[in-house]
Amino acid sequence: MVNSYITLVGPEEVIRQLAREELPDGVKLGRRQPADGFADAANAPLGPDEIRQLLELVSVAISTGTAAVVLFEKLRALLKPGQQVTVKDARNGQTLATVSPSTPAQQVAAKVVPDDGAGT
Amino acid sequence: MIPLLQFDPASLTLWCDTHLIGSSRGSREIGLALEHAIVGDDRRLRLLVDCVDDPWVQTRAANVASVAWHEKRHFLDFVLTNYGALRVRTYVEAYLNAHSLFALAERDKRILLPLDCNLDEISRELAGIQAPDERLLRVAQAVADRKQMLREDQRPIDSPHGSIQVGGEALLEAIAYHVQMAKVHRLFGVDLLRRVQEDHPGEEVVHLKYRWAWEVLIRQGLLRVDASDHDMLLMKDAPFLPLCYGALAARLWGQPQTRTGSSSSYMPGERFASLAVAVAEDHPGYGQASCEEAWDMVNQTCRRIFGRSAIEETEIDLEHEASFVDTIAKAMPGSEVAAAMTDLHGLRGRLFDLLKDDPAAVLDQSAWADRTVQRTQPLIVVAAPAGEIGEPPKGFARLSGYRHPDTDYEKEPEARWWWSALNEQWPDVADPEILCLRDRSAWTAVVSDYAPFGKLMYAGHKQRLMLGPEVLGARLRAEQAAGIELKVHSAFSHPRHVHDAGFWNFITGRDDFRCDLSSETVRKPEGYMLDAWELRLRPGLRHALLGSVENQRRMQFSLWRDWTPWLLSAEFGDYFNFFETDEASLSGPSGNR
Repeated sequence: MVNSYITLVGPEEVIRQLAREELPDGVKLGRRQPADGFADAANAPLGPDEIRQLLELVSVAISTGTAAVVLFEKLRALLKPGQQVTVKDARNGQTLATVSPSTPAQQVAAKVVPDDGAGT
Repeated sequence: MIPLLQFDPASLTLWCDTHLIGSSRGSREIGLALEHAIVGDDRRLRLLVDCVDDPWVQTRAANVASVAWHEKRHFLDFVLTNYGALRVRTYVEAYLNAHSLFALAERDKRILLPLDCNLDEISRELAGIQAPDERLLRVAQAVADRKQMLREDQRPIDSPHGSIQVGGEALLEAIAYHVQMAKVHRLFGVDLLRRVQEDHPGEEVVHLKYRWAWEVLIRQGLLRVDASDHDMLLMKDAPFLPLCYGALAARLWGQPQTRTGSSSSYMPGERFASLAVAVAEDHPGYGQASCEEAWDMVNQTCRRIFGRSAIEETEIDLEHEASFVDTIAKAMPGSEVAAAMTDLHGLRGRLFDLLKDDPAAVLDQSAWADRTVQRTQPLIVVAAPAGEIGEPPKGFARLSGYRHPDTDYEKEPEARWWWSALNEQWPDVADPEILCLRDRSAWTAVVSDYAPFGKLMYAGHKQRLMLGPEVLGARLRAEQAAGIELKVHSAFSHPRHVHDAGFWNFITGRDDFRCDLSSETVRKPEGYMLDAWELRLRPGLRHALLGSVENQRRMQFSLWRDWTPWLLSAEFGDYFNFFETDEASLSGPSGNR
C-alpha cells in the first residue's frame, strides 16, 4: 500500500491530544515537535513580531482513505471554535487543507489520499 | 516585517540592513543618526536630530538611533545574565557538534534539518534516511530538549490585555525597551519620546511585548507612578532593572532547584513571579528605593527564597561556564569556537565585575544611558540584501557573497558580489575601557560559518533573517565540503513571513514605489510585496523572467544576488501567484563564499 504523507500543524494542546487518541489501522502518527525553531534574532519595536501562540507539528503516514476520514473526524472533534489545524503535503510543504471544527472530514481526506477504492 | 536592525544571539553581533536604510526618506540623516548612536556620540546625534526639518525624518532618525541602544542592551544582557548566557550557549553546543555530525551521517550521506526532525521515523522515511547513527540521534535529542526548555520559557499566558510572555526572552525585551525609551527621553525630551513611541506599526504588540513588566510591577506596588506629564505617566523606575536582573539570574547547569509552593529558583519567568510577590512582602518601601538599594533588597530576597543572592547565583554560573570553556579548549585546541568562548567568558567576567563594583552602571537606566551604553560595543555586521557588486569597502571583511567561477570580473563585474561584511576597525578592541568581544578573527568565523549552521540545526530555513543567503549559503557550503546532503524538512523550508506593502511604506516613509516588474508607480495603500524566498520557491516565475530578457546570464546573476523583497503592482502580484511553488528549487549557487 502506498502511503500518503502529511504534516499537521496546529495548537500544541490539539496535536498533543491527537497523539493520545486511539487511531485506526492505516494511520501512523510520528513524533510531535515544535513548529518553531527558536533561532530568531532579537527584534525591536520598529518592526516587532506578534506574540505567537505555540504550535506543534506532527508527521502522519496514511494508507487508506477510510483511515484518513477517521483521523480527520477525530481531529475535528478536538478543535475548539476559532482553532484550526493546517494540513500540508509532507513531501513538499504545500498546504492541502485547513481543518476547523466545521470542516467535513471526507473533504479533507479526499485531498490527502487519492481515491484507492477503499470506500471513503 | 523586514528587520532594519537586529541583534543575533548566535554570534552576539548587531546587524544593520544598509539597503533598507538607503531606501528610506531622509536616508542620509537616518544613516548618520544610526552611526552616532552605534559609536556613542550623543552630542553629534542630538545636534543632527535638532537640525532635521522634516518631522517624519526627525522622529525616524531618533527612533533608529534608539533601536541601536535597544540592541546594544541586548548584547550586554545576553553576555552577562545567566539566562542570556544560556541562550548563547545553546548555539555554542550546536557549533561544537557541527563538525562531528558529518562523520555520523556516513551511511545515508544525508542529515535532516532541523536536527530534531531526525528523531521522527516518518520524517526520516520521507528523507530517505534508513538507519541514523545513535550518536546523531543523541545530538538531535539534545536539540529537542533545548527547544522544549525555550518553549516553556516563551509560553504565552493570558492577561487582561491579551496573551503575554513573562519568561527570560520577554524580560530581555522589557529591559531593552525600558533603557531605549528612557534614553530617548534623556537625550531628546518628552515630545520626541512621545513621537518615537508612536512610530511603530502596532501599538498593541508593543504594549504586550515590551511594557508588560512595568504593568505587573506597578500592580504589585513595586514601581510607583507618581504623576503625569504631558499626558504621559511618570514612573519612578530605579527599582525596575534590579528586579529583572534578579529574575534573569536563573539557576542552570542541572543544579538542584529551590522550590516551594510559591517560588522557584529555576527559569526567569518563575523567578520573576516569585520575586514580585516576595520582594513586596520583604520590602514595603521597594518602590521608593534607589537603584542600589533596590538591588540590595532583591539580593536579600533571592537569598531568603532561593538560598542564594542573584550575585551568588551568577558567580556560580560563571564557575560552571569556566569549566565548560576549559573543556572546549581541551577538546578543540586552537579552534575558533574555543577561542570565541574564551573571549566571551572573559567579557562576561569583566561585566560581572562591573555589576558588583558599580551596580548602577548596569541597573540604573540613567547611568546606563549616560555612560555604559557608549562603552558597550558589539561587533557590527553590515548587511546588503540586494548584494553589492564587487568586494566590500576597505576596513570590512566579507562574511558572505558570491564569486562565479572561471570569470573575468573586470569584464563581468556583476559575477561577483557580497551580502554581508564585518567592520574590522570598530570597535577598538585594544581599548580596555570598551565592553566588547576582542578576538575578531574567532568571531568572524562564528558569524560567517558556525552561527548560520547552528541556526540551521535548530530551525532549518524557517527563521527571521535579515539575509536569506546567510543560512542557505552555509548549508550549501557545508554540503560541498562534507559531501553530505543537508535535507531541510518541508515544514522548515523557508521563513513564513507575511509581508505587506504597507510595512514597506511605513519603514521607508514613502507613499509610493515603482513596481519591480512593470516600473509603474504604485501608490499607497495599493501594491504587493514579494518575499525573496517566495521568488526562489517559484521556478516557473524565474524561468519566465529569464525568458523576458536578452542577456539571460546577467538576469540570472541578478536573481541570485538580490534578496530584497520585490515590490509589485496588484496586477503583477496576481501574475506572481499564478506560478506554483516547489520547495526543491531552494538550491543553487546562492551562497558560495
